[in-house]
Amino acid sequence: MSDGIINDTIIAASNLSKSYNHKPALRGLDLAVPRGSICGFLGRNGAGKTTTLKLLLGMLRPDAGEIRLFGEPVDAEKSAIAARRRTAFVSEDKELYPFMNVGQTIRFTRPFFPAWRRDLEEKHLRLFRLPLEKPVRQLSKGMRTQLMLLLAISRGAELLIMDEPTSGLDPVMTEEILQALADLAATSGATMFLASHQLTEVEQICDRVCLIDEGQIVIDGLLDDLKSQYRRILLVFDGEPPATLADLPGVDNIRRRGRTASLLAHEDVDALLERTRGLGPRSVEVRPVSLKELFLEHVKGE
Amino acid sequence: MLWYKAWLETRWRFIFMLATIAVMWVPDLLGLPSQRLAIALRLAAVLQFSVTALFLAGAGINTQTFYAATTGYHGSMLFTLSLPVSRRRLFLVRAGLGALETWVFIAVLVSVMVLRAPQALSSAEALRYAARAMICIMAVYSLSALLACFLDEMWQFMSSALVLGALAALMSRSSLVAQFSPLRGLTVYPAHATMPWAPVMASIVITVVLVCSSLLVLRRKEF
Amino acid sequence: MDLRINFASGVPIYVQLMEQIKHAVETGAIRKGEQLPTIRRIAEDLAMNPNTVARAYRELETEGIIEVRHGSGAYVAVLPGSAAKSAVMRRAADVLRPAIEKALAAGVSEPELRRIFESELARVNDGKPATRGRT
Repeated sequence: MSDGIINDTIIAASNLSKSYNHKPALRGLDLAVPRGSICGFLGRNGAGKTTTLKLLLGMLRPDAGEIRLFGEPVDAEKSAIAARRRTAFVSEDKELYPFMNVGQTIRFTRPFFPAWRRDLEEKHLRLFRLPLEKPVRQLSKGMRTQLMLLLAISRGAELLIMDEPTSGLDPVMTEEILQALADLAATSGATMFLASHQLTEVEQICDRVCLIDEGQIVIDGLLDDLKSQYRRILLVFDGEPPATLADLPGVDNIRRRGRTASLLAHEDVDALLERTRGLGPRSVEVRPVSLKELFLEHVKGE
Repeated sequence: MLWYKAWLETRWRFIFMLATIAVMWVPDLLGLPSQRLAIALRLAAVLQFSVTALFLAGAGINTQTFYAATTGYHGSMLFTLSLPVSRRRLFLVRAGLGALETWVFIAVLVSVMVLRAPQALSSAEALRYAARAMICIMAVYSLSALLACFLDEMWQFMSSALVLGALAALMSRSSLVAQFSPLRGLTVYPAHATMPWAPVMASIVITVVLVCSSLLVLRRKEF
Repeated sequence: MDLRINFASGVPIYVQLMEQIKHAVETGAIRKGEQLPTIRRIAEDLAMNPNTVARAYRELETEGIIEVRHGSGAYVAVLPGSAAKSAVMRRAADVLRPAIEKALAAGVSEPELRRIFESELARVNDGKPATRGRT
């Protein structure tokens, strides 16, 4: 980059919109992924995850909004290509060229990246036990994922974008992939953007999460902070839970059942607890909130 | 490495088309007299040139790479597009190799024709013929390549063939079309000692227009 | 150190890590002066995010449980007993802080606040429950 300043926001998208056949897929989406973070991009199927990834990589053009990778706009061809030189993408089905074998795939990819590291290539060939002569079409999904990770690591990618990295993989392979990602993050400080609905894997490897629902971001933050901020408050009343519960600030969601009310609260939970005590419940219980609960509470049903 | 990939994608088709040159020996089996031989070879050549062009234009620009606009499944194209290379370069290399292969095909075929029927075609005429055919086939090839940018392979092949058929039919109706048609550049045989410039010029113009159109289509295409 | 993280728990992962490291110090599994595994090592072994491990280490350093020496790594800084103690003290500080802020905001002066604190402390130590003030 011309001014030599290291940009700390690796992926920056503002007000992204995209429609297909007059049906909106993204509606004013904003993203800011800082350098070095592993960001889990969560959402239901059809919520706009893959669309967003394709927009980031220039496979689609947005109807409105701006995208910057490494601080440079992706709608200018030159900077888009420069950004892709620092990026690696692993698609959902891990497609490579079926008519090539492992060795040919590596030899094909190598010349595009001047910073290619042969030592990392060889290390990961051994680590993943990938046979050079084996045709890509004969590789299992897990091995294709490993091959694509090898290509990403060897090129020295500063940004790794993956669509459903561990979907369809057995537990052993999943753990190997997550270990490779953890190692990559620890040694190179690469930024990762992982679209996934495998919440367990996201909880394990990601430090940030963004949740997209109906074309917009509804949650965005550090996973540990979200777990600190959100609480589930369970209230039992002698009669019907009062309607004034809905007026309480900082409550994302209320569910009533008989004499019980369940509140999902974030921020300033202590003040909220004081107010709920003032409503005279029979019992007050506070519980932590899992990512699964956060997900389910923030997406709309069909 | 894009050239290498393009080669891997097209090599079997290329070899297959070279093998079809064996058709040159069919008139012998049928026991055709030599004048008939010349005509037969001529027709065979045009057909083979065209089929080769269509066939090679399809592979790779289409196959797993620029796949079905209809199915929306883009397979390994996503991998290709994520690489730091412009779509323009992707197209030019891929289309370029197919064009080169088509030229090699023409060169080999014409050489075989000279060997098989030296009385019908001298070496000097063969050279001119080959050069003319190579330029005119580019109009056919680039049409097919453009169609490959947004149609799946079957449709690309068939619609290219349809256009060529329509062009051939038009040639018999309109003398203007007949004068400039690239197909004439492929078929007009050594009876003319001079190069028929009209189809050659027309082919160059058509090729340039079609290639620019392809690049434009690809630039705007969404995957 | 045998670290087990429950990634699905509502308890933040860095907090879990901190607790387990403190526990390891308490039980003597790792002693004062000994080196902790590197951030990279823990991240790889558990296949977890190195930033989260780094955060745990930073917090532990703030609490004085470990010390990070540039270039060589993280080392245990406390003896068993003091690890738990400093956590308790930290929690006590967290509890008192808002109460102090509220009192000062209500117009109580610092010397007055100290006197109130002393008298409440004395009451508790006498076994008499402190009278609850109005909120």
